[in-house]
Amino acid sequence: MKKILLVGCPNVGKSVIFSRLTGIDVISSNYPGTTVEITKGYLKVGQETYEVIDLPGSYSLDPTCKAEEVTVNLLQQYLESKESTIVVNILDATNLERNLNLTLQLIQRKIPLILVLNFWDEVKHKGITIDYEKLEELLGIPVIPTCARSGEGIKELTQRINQAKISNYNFVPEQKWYKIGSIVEQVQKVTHRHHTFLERLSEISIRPSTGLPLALVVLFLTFFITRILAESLITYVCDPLFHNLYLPVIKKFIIKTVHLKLLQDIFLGITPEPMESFGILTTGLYIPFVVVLPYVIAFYFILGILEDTGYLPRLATLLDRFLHKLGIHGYSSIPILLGFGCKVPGILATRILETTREKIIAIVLILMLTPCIPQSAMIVSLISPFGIRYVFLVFLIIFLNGIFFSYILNKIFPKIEISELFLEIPPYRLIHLPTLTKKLYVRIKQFIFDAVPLIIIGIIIINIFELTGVNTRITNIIGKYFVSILGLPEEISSIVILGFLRKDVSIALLSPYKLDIKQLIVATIFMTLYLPCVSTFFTILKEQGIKNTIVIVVLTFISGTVLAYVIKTLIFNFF
Amino acid sequence: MKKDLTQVKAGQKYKIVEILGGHRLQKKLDALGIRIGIEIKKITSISSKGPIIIQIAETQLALGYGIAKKIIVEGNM
Repeated sequence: MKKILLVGCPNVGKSVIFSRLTGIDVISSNYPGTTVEITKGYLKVGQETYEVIDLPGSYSLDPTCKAEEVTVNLLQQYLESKESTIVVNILDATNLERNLNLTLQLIQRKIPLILVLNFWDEVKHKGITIDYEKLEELLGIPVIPTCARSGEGIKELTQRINQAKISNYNFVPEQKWYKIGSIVEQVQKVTHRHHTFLERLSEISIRPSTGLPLALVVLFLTFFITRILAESLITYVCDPLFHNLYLPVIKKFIIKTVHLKLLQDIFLGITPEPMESFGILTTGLYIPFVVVLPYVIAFYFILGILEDTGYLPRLATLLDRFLHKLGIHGYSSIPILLGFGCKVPGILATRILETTREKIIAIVLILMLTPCIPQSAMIVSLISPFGIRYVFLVFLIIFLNGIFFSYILNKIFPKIEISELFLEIPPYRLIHLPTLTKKLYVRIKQFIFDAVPLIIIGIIIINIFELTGVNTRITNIIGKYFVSILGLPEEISSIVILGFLRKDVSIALLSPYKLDIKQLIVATIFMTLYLPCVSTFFTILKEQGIKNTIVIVVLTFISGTVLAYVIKTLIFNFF
Repeated sequence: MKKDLTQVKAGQKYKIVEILGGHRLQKKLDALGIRIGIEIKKITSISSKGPIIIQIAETQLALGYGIAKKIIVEGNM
């Protein structure tokens, strides 16, 4: 099958074009490095079907960092394979000169090419005019202006895909910038214009005197709005729907169709309280859809806004100096923030960091600074009846411990030079609601398909443990450690172990045991830190290999246990 | 007068006259069009040893302090 490779600098909109061409929804954001893995899809033009491949961005074909090396090697592999391959080179038309650097390198490799000038709408706004027909003539390859967000130009791109050509534009590599300069001079005119509101906002958000207070406000609002949105969804939508609509129907249905009492109990649980019954169709769906999903929706909605406006690279720049003290540079704040939602995409995003040392420190921070959003939702749900200040306390303890731990880690790890921040700050862009909603939809779908089955499996396992007496056996083996180290009742040992499968369900299953607030604080802190969940574990394994994974898991386990012990000793003795 | 990017005032344009440091850094900067002879604008710096933000044509870029230290510029100081 013929292949189409999408190649371009970071943050030029390759993933949006990919979505447009293939109809596959992929996550795209307004910061360099959103795509770290290659995505494949198909495009049908007339009788011909093409395989479309979205590659992570690279500024140059002569790689300057590990992440670029991966992209360039992939490109090389595709080009060397027997199948016919064309490259669609996507450019940020507002940065023609810089983007043409990559184009000339592609031309030099004698690859069949098509140029796409994306952000065509912004070009007009910025007072730039580009004579794309002239550019086509100069380079001898098709040039198509697009606005991927709105879909403008995509049709022309598909129609002209078979016109991809090897350019016979000649130049000596040493003269490339001179050549680029002369091309730009011939095709582009820039007229003077005033600073826009977004540009002024950009300055405000990056200059430290105004940027740091703004960053605090943004972070505060992120958590505040997430909570308000989520709690409103729970109180006014999910919980009423569950109790008034779903529960009566499903109860009637099960009681009518299933006559065996044991099966009825497995499906519906033994008590009417949905958080305590352990029924597959009651607790098993109440946890993911009523308690957790609203938080997932709310958090990813806010995160989507931060990603799409382009705020994150600014935050990363502001935090650079502070993060250097922990042994990483500012870019790591993006994976860490993604990790607030789910650890898996956070860990994948560390791929863009330069050294293994930085990656390990960033992963440790991702794991330790905060629980993931489903787990956070459960902590809020369990602890807030005692007072929201306790929720705050738990998060603060976890957060400070994470900072402290990675500070120490940075001190004891064999020192090498920290690589430096080198980050493009994209212009602020207005939110495009369809793009934002689509991204939210992709993430919610991922949560439902990945998480809900695991939550239900978790509940089934606990039911089986209970029925077969495995629970008692686990309690007998490790229960006494729970009592002595954590001050927790020994019966919950098997539930805590279940946290390896999924943390949210494991914390939810604590609710029938009526722990007091002190025990809850210790339990939630311990369960956040003691082990990564199984999906996170395998992601670390894939990214870092067995040796580093063991190091990371052992370190976080020790830290989690020590912290929980210290906190238990403090609050049980002094409060 | 030659100074590095960390020493010059923000809000003004400068010409790059020298890039210290190895081939790797030169290559990295060149990929984004940052090279000897071109004009860049220093937008701002974050704290005393934090990153420097520069603008080259329409692109804004945050450079770590260590990188900025290696870019030597001249112009209105």
